[in-house]
Amino acid sequence: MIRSHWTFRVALAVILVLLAAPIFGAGRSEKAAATDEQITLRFSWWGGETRHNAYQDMLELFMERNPNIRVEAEFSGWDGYIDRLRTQMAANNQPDVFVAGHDGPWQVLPLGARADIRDFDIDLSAFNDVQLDEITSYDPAGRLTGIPVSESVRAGYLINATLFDELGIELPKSDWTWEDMAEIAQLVYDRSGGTVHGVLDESAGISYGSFGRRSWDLAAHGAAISGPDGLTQTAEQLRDTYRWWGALRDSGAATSAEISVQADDGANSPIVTRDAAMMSTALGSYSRFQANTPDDLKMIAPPDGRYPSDEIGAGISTQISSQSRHPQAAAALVSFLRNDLDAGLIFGTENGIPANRHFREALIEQGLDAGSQVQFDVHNWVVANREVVSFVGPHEAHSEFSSLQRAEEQALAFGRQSIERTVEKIIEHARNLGM
Amino acid sequence: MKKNTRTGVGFLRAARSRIRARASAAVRHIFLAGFGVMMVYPLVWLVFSTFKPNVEVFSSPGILPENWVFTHWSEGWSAIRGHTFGRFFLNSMMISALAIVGTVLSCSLAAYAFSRFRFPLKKMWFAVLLVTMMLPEQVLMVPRYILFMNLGWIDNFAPLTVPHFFGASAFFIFLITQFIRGIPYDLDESSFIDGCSRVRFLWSILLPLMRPALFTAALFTFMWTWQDFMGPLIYITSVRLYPMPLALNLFLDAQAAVNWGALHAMMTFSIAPIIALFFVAQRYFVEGIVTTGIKG
Amino acid sequence: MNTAQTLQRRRRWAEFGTAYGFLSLWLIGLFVFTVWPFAHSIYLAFTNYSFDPQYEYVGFANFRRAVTDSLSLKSMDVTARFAIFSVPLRLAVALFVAVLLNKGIKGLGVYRTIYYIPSLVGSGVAVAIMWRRVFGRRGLFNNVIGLFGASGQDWIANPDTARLMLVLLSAWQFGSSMLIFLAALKQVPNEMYESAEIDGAGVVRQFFRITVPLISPVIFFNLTMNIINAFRVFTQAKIITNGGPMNETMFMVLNIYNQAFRFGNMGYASALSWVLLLIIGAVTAVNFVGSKYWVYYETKAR
Repeated sequence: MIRSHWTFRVALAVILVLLAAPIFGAGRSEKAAATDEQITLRFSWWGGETRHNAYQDMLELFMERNPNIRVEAEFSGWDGYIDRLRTQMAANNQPDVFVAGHDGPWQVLPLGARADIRDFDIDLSAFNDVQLDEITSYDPAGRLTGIPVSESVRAGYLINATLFDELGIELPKSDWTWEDMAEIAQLVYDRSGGTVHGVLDESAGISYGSFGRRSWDLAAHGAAISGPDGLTQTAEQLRDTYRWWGALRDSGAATSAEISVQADDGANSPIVTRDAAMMSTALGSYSRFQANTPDDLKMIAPPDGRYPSDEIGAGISTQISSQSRHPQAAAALVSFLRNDLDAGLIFGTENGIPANRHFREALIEQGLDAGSQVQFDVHNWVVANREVVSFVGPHEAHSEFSSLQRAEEQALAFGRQSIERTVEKIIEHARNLGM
Repeated sequence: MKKNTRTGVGFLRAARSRIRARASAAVRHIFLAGFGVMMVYPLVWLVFSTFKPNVEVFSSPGILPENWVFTHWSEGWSAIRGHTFGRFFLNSMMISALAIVGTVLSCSLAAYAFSRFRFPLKKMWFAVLLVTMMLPEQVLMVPRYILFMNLGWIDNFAPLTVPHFFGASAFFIFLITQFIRGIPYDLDESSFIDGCSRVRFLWSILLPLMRPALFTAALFTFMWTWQDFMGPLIYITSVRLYPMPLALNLFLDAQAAVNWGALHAMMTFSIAPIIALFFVAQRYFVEGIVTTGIKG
Repeated sequence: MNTAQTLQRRRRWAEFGTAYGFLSLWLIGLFVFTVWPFAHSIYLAFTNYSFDPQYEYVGFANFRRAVTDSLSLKSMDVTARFAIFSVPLRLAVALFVAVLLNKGIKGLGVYRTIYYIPSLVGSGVAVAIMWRRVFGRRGLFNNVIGLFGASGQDWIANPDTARLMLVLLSAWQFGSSMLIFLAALKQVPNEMYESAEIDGAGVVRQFFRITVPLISPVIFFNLTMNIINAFRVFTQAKIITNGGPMNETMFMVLNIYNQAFRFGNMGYASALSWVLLLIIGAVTAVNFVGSKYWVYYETKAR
């Protein structure tokens, strides 16, 4: 009995010592690392599996070339990415390098958290001046707060070509209208005997899509909403679009609320589960969806006619933290990611068509893979045939607004709320948030 | 009575009641076993689904795989590029271990004071202890975040471990206090007569006797920190420092092509230590719950 | 005499000092990690703090919003409904199984283990992920009922059933309540049942006349703890449904988390925390007052 007391106490003491050691040890080793020239950088992005893999491959190459720099990846899905960056920035704990945007929802991120790219020795010659100027224009101090990642239109329409083939329906072309789309969607539903919906319902609170971006617009054009004209116009537009999608939903052409609500950017996307034959998505997301399904996916430009056409903007960029303790190493990483041809070839079109013109040329020269080809085709077609508008204006409460709007739209899709009431409440939310 | 059983009526009655008792036991067994199977079925299914091909995972409700696949565990292990689940497991272990040590240390000290000393304001402090026990920590998440932010503790294990060294789990102070109160006071007196100091008494006499209570506190601290999701979600941002729950969430969230078998393998991996611990130390779990009503 | 007195006094003070020495870690923790955040939270609740170093005093605006905002009201409604359904369900199942297990049954240890395991792991992320898939449209559950010819739906995506799935998950973890009931049932003297049987009382009558009153303090304890826990739901709501669909699972804690860490409304989130605390306090108080009418304490026996 006495011996067991002893072993117990000795064990307790040993555990205590062992466990105390790592805390102090860890703190010391980090300090030691800094003086040893061994630098650790943090780099964050969002995306799906294919993008994660591309970035990790690039980082491995970078670390191989810069043995004194270790890059720690902080990656996640899209949901909550901005919010997390924002919280990190508030705690002065943002990664040394991160991928982020400038407009729309990104405006919640404080400008001061980003360093001026021009302070570093980074070659900007391969980038489009218009894009660089636009990024510069977001900062009142005129600093260049990021290097653009891609230069492409934002959205495309994914088509499950295998499904179309099985149902004996001809694939739509990029010059289609929203009416064409509705017709084709209905055909899909009817021919499949009601097992496949034509298109993912974009009015049911999904976070991305051509119409999904109407909500984005609504949040972005906050100032317009509160004006007497802007408000009625937006309300009228909203009612109109809800009516349009509502009709598709009722006839089965668009997905039922149950499917739309659960739709996500990956394995549970209706185009992967074969619940819908078409859906809107970001151009750069093509390969992610294709990676998830054995079916053959195609992408064309979103329909035109009823809703505003697509935009090209500053898009997203690679940015350096103003709080970085190793700004030069961070700059080296950014330079590598966006200027080094090897990196560019690994990344391909993971985030849309690369903004660096050498990357584009190299990709074409190397021979585009199917996923990249699709993106180039859609992009080139839209630029040649559509009036491309620039993405405008911010509202800081975007995140909150869109989550409120999502719930209202879900209520509408489930038939719990009239269009009139839905629009009323959405406008009310916008007003409450000072938009 | 004995006489009575000999008579026909009494015998019949006894036999009937015996049959009834047996029938009722059988009915209870059938119900309890059936219901029990229903309760653990999802977990058993989860474990075996890690050996099923992905298409089979959700399509077949059966437990045993039709085709056995053994690659999911290795796929899951390295599913998050740059780190293996070994890393996340160690992170979880580290957090839990620190929390346990902190809890055992700080709670037994405070409990000793509450149970064996008379000092001014004792009643008040004990009341405060009971109040903090009932206080849901979720209520304090905002100001605590700001506090830890100002201390520079974000993206660090500190917010998840340091408070435990300062008696953050009031529950266990209460538990250990009650336990020590059950230890006869004569012990203290006889050792003080022998010239034993308070500290020495705690260390060499009380501590070994407190073992069951300390085990219970350690076990439940382990379970709570191991499964805690909100704390790490708020405070940890680097993937390198992710504990198991965050890693699972990342697996689910970031992997577009979700490999269900691999995900389930890692889910099983995250649950396994708790179940294993339960089987090893079942007695302390049951005692802990029964004596203090801890939520499992 | 005088020196003896001072010696005694000194010794007593030394004892106080030692006591506070032992208490010091907890006291520091109490003030740094609980009392200060608590006070700070009151202060924050009256400001529009959102990580920006510049913020203002806004009076009761946050509290006004907390009790008028439709999302906040919705979250209270959702949380209350969850508590009303999940707590009695969990306790009823726990008590029922405990009663069955109590009457001397073979393999008690095995049953106890089986029923307790869900409680062990049920609050974690792994089970939440599992639940989400099991009750999904192509999930395990629909496949099981498909074997019996029934056609399912997406139980998680449907606003009518989403919260029910969380209630079920909570009820599934009845194990720890069951263990507490089981221990209490063991304290009920067997003679009481025997004499009741002689009086001709049936099983049901015995249960309500003898069992329930005698273990009522334990029922009350379980009730109180489970209600408090029901107000703290977060992990399940975040992972399984993320508050949706239609905010039907937007629990109060999830709303506070979103307001603070997604939308950056730290001041408002602090006010919401206080509302949550007040509600929990009020419900617990009502529970305590109500307990006078049905909880039976064996005071005379002692």
